Amino acid sequence: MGCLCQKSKKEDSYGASKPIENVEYSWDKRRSMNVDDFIIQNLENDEKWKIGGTINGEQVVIQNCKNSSIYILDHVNTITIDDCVSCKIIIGPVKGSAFLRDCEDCVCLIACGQFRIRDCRNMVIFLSCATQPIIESSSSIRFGCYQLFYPSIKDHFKDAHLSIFNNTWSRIHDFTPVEGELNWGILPENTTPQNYFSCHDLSRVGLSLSVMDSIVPYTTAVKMCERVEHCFIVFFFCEGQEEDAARVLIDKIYLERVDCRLVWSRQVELSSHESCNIFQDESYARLTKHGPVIGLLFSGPCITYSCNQVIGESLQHVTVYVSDSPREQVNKFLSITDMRIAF
Amino acid sequence: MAAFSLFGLLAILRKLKSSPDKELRILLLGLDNAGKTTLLKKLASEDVTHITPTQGFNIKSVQAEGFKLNVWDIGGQRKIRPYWRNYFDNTDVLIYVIDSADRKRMDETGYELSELLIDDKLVGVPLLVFANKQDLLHAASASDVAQSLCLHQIKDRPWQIQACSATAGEGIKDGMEWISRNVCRKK
Repeated sequence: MGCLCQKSKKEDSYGASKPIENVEYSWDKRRSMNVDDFIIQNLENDEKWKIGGTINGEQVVIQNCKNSSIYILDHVNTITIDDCVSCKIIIGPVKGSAFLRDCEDCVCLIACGQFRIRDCRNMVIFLSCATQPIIESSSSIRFGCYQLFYPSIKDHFKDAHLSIFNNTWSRIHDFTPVEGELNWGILPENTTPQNYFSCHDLSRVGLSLSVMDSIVPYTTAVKMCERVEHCFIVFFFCEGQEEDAARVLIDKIYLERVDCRLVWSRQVELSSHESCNIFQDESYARLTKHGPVIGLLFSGPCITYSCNQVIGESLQHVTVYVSDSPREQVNKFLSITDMRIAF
Repeated sequence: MAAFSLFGLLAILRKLKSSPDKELRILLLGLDNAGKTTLLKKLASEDVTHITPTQGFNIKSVQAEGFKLNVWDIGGQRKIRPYWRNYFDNTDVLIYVIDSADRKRMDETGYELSELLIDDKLVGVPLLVFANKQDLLHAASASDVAQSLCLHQIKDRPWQIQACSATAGEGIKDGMEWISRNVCRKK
């Protein structure tokens, strides 16, 4: 690709050089699609659904909508949401970035690789984000943990290369902080997507906003505190069974220990060196070399006892590590996982 | 698509007779979300699965046989663009990255580029524009991007526009080859 510029003698050596010819890129060979099917715009007091297979990993643009509900139950490459007012938006897993600009009074449920927001006001975002979410020139942005289930969502997370266990929804970076006030906040724990969306309508299509059904585990935004007991657990790779096992533990603790919380979860590959560093034992490298591990941090009174009980009763088929010195190991584990996402 | 690394670029540089004997400083600029860090990591053959939005800047440096290639990737948020200028000194090549699929901000990116081109510190610095994200459905073609940005009016420096997809690694090599040809010719 290149450009031919108008040449005068003097400028012969400047301007664009010759175009590179005979180069065919993958996008030149892409089959043609109706671009309009991937733009949702100018809705007013309306409702729009995009079900699985209609987007299929392509880019989506939402713009200039008012008082409308938009549901995209498919995996998406990247999405921009611009100039929307008073809309309710639910979006399946977005592989790359979700970028919101010039929006007001909207409620969004988004899972994405990157989350960026600029020039927005008074927004509620239920978020799952693989990297640190950022805001710029925005105010009254409130965040909560993504809670969503619909029949193909598990596959869509895989298609979007997102792990349900890597969610840093509450670690917001504000590029334009204002002294003396906060442009963003964390929603109270009892404020959930169910407060904003009509569940009756949604359940007709198999969609659920409940914590128990959600594909992404509910994690709290509360930081590790000295006084509270913590339990750090690692599930070693076991052909995918470790994911289900981690989920069993999370659900049981959620149901049976209302005073306990899942602080965070991470899914990450560990090199033998990293593995040795975390576990202080070379033999763990044998377990970590097969595939990514899942790390979970719980907090609450007697949480280690409860976790051990669930593991002993229900999770004998997978290899699990329960830390007896969580603080030190958690710091090591987090510094390694955060290196991966923080560049 | 073959993986392309900074070492690949060095191999190209080495082949040229008038090899630069000094540090080659490449400045990577563009709006936020343009794909600068993805491009940088791709140049260094690193994994690009999860990249966090850049809060300050990233540098990749490779040294071999008298060459030192420094690529500076500076965050693109509106708030931090005034600081771009702090990185202008001794720039050998400017790479400007554009999200070709972000139609809403084509004017904004054009404005920021025009500001760069009138800056004293960047006079005559060769310009490579990457029309990035060509893999996306709503991407404008490189020639449309060139037209929107009035690139054809640039007469005071060598420039090129190159279509690419940083995530897929396509088109990057062609752009870097243009750099090696144009920068080395000058030295």
